[in-house]
Amino acid sequence: MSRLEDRVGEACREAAETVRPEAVRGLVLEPARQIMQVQGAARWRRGGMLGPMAAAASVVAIAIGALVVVPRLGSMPHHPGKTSHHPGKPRHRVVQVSPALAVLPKYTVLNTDGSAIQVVATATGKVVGTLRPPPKQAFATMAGTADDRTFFVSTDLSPQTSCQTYFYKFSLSPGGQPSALTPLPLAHLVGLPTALAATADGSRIAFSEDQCATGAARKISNGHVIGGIALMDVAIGKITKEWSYTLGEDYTTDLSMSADGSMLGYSNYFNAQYPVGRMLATSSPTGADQSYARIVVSRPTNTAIGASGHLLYAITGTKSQMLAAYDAFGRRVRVLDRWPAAATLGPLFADPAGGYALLPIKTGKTRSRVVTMNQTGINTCFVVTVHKRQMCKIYIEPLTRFLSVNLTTGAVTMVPITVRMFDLHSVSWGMVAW
Amino acid sequence: MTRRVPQAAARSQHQSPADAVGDLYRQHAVALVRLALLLVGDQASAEDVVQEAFLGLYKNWSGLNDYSRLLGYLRVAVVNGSRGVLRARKRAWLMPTRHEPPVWSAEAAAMATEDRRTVLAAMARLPGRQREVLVLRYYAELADNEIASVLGVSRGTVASTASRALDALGRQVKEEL
Repeated sequence: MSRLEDRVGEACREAAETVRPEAVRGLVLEPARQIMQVQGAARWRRGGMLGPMAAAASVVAIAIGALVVVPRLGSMPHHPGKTSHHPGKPRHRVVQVSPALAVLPKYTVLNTDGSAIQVVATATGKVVGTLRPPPKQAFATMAGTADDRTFFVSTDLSPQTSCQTYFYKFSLSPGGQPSALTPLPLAHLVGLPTALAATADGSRIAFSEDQCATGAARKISNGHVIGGIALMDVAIGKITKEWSYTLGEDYTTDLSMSADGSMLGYSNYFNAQYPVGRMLATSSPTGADQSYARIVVSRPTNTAIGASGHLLYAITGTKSQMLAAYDAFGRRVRVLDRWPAAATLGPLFADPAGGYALLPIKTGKTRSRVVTMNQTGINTCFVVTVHKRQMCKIYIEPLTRFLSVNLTTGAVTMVPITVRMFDLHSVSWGMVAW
Repeated sequence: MTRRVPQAAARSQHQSPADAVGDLYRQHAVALVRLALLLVGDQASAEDVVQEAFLGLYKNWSGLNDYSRLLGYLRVAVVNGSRGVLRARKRAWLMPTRHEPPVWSAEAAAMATEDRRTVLAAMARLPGRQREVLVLRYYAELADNEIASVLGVSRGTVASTASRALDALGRQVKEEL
């Protein structure tokens, strides 16, 4: 037997032994079992068990009860698990409680290019509401709260003639319609918004802001402060803490905050060498972020802190990509999923309520096509010369899909929404779904 | 037609169906749940599959004509039931399922070693038939003719499927590590 065969056997045996004999439930023969299951399925269908959850978390629960009709068989079939129909024989109806009971966020809120925020019904992919930015502004970053209805956004100027940040708040109606934007009490700052996070109750927001260079161009060192992360009390419009970051760290685009606002999670660079995922207690005094933040993971591409503030979720890896949870001591405590290196994974957004993270993923290759210059419907293209004739080369990005990651069980589900985006890591792009 | 009633199965034949199925359940449920676990990934679904298999046996008890093949019958039912569970999960792609994370996923934290987890995770990515062959061969330690009987294929198909499965698994595991 080869080494691989041994490994297969060992792996199977170890997995099998996780089934403890005393933990296997006893056999319940009909009719009690059938009645129990039928009642269970009916209860799920009515949504009675999901009612409180739906009310609290504003999510839609979809229940599927698969009906399997098992006929009474006259003799032992060769493949007994397969069903067949024998006319004239009494039939037993066995209702299997489907494992496919589902909880999806009702709405996914997308800011794909800064020109609009779209509210998409998650189950159907239909756009149910659109919110435009104020004139001459573009949406930059977005964060949601645990009530699933309140959102904060930051905008910058469009065109970006100078570096300005504006903060707004909006809410969703039960039908998914966004309210008008309401400026926060502290509505305007100088600098470019690069990331935004909110506490579960929406009382505080944290944001990252990159300062623009002023004056004549000059060389600056890696230790030069280029921006910072700040904590804002929304009600009084006051910045309560600030932690600066340097050129060597670069700005962060994936700031996230624990539900109670006690911890921040983000990634930036370590001494201009490689990215690191950091956790920062918001009780830390104002100062340089490097002085107070703890590095918990090296070379992440995206991070998001969990609602408890104890775990930082990070996507790492080059040969294959892995979504894993790390504790504050940098220990990897859980691997949630893996993807091939070819997949492009976007920013990770963790639900402030701690249930889910949403992750955009692009798996196909970019295709290109050469079309005539006057072909309708094409706004921008690369001009190429083909047979002495100017043609237009357009690039077609693969569809971006969204994964919903259950942060408790690690179950990963494809959300039925697709968009076509060029850059998953664009700072002007944000997405929240709860 | 004379029914074949081997010694080992004689008792089953003379018991009430409920008692006989109950006895069989006590003897074989754990092993079958373990087999199903390797095919579907989580214990709750595996137990459902095994319960359905025994329920099917119970329903068809009066029509049995070969009590010596009860365990084989149950194995077939478990393999088919597991396929049904996996099919249902595929159909339900739109919704997150409530089943537990697979035993080979790290978050299940049930398996101690990364290597074994990697092997099982790679097995989970194989086509269903290949995975079934590997589980039946290297976990259940069935001979190829027994596997052929469980899967309803020829012995040659079992051998070729196992070979392809090992090739694919070897490649996947190598890429993973």
